[in-house]
Amino acid sequence: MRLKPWIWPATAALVALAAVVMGLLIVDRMGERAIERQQASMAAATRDYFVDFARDEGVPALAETLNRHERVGAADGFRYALEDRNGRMVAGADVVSSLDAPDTGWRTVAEPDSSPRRLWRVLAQPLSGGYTLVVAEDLSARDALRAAVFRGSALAILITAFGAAAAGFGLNAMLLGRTRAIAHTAERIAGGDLSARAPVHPNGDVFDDLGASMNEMLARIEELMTGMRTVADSIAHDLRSPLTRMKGALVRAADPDASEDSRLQALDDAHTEADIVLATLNALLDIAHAESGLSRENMQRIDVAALVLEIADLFSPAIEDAGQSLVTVAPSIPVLARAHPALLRQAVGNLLHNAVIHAGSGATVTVQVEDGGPGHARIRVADDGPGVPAEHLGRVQERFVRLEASRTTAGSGLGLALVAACAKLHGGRLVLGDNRPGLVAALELSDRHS
Amino acid sequence: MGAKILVVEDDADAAETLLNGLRQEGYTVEHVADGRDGLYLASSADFDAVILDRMLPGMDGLAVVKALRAADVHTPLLILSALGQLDERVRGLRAGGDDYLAKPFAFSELSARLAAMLRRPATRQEVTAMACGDLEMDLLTRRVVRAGRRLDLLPREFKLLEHLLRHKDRVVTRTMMLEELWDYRFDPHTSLIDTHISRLRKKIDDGFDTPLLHTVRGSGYRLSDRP
Repeated sequence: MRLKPWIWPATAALVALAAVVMGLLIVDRMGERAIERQQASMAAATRDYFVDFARDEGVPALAETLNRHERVGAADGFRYALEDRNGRMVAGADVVSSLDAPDTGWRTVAEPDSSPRRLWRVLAQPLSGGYTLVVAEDLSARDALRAAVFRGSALAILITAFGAAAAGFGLNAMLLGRTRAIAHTAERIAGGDLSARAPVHPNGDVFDDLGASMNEMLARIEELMTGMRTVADSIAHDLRSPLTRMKGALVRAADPDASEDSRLQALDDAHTEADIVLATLNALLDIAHAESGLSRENMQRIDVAALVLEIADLFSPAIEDAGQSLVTVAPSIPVLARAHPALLRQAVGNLLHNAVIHAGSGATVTVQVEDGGPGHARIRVADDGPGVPAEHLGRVQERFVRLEASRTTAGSGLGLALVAACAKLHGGRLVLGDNRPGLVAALELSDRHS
Repeated sequence: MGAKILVVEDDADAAETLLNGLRQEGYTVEHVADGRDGLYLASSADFDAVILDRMLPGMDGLAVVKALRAADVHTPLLILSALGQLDERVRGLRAGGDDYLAKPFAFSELSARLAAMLRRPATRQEVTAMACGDLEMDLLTRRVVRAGRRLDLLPREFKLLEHLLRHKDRVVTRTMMLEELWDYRFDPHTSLIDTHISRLRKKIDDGFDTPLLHTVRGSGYRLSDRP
């Protein structure tokens, strides 16, 4: 699935456009309000000023001031007129005098005979001596101011928006490029080229982090694939030998010249080889099952010590027959832990089986159960036989690994792999060590993962 | 014997081998290849035992077992399965099966288990003493005597002999003993049973004229005063 590259910029542009329009509307409205407040307070202030002025300095002085104001010109949009008691204009602007001033308060009126219609806001303020001061504000001046504020704000917003859009497009192109490079790597992997790696630059931004973790994952996958291939090769090899021997036995059994006895013997041999093949397959199945963790539903709280002692009891004649002696050490009280009984029995059995096969005659096999606190237990199976060289201790836990020394004895090389898988299912691990002399295998159980 | 057995198995070859073997042993056998038919037959007709494959067309084997038990049909039931032993066995027994056998198996193994299953109800009653020829076992005092002579057995040897006495005159396979006495199911280690048997044999047969513990080639062991 590919992202359509234009979808995100288009959405972003739409959102940005809406934001700009909203912004302009808000600026316009706020500007209008600010201007209105400003003009209203200015109008009140000038009216009060002129009323005071008329009282203190006299009406003629006011008339003189108003005329001067009219001559100099009104920058703030306010114009004034002074009328006598008959309504005749004494000083100020003609146009203001021509307006139909209200008796009280502010009112918006149109200038007579104006085209286009020119609106004024007017107030008639009575003064002493029957005079009237008319204050008028030219509303078109207000509109011009509002338009100027709006133009300025709009310009600022548009510049910001364009800048952001340009940055967005640039960033988007960069992101797409970087993501594409990683996607391309993933496609090559999917196509079967496991050596493909995501580009990682030394400057180390998030994409490089992503690429680096992806490369780590790929390295792990490649390693696992190689491991799988090795296991597959090993299975093929380990199954081919018994199958070849089985075929040979069957050929002998089918020989018309063979005696009844040798025929039965050959069939018996074929049977034995079939059992070996089945045992290998079953062991692989059990390991896979334990590793997948599906067995967890069958885990229950059990007395691990009792279980281990039972298996030791099962193996004790075999250990005796191998010329070895068995020592069991366990606490006298139950060692409780969550465990998969069937798998754990098999794991302990495999460890004891290994001791019987590899520790040699005269060895002492020690089975020990230790209580490691609530939910924790450790099972140790130790012998004082020849042991395993330190450099192979890790490797023998892998599937199908059989050391040169044991090539000649029967075995699938899966025993310890199953014990390791069992330990993992039980939230612990299998630790192999040197018993000086001999091998010690410690199977740790813990409730941690269950 | 003449017991009536129902075999529910969809693999034609496996079914044929099974049917021939069972008929040779004197059983009356009926066969169906489908889970639904198996459930219908097992709940309507009167069988002494049912042998049921775990994976069946129409209806899953475990579902058949559960449905039968839910319908109060308590015919002894043996489940066959090609799936692993570790968990499938527990699952099968939990669903209501009486025994479980992983494929592939030797016919002798199946035969021994079927025989044990068919006579199970009879052994349900409390037994306090058992005997085979001149060998006697008292379960209360835990004494074993042969021809008036007291035999000194280890607990595990006593356990093994008790099991063999309960299945007197019948073949008990190594895996059956491993499973029932040690709860251990791991085919490559079945020879462990031989080490136990040889010790028991030394104690109960050495120095006596007639051997009681017989090895049955290819299957297991049998305790009997008849050769």
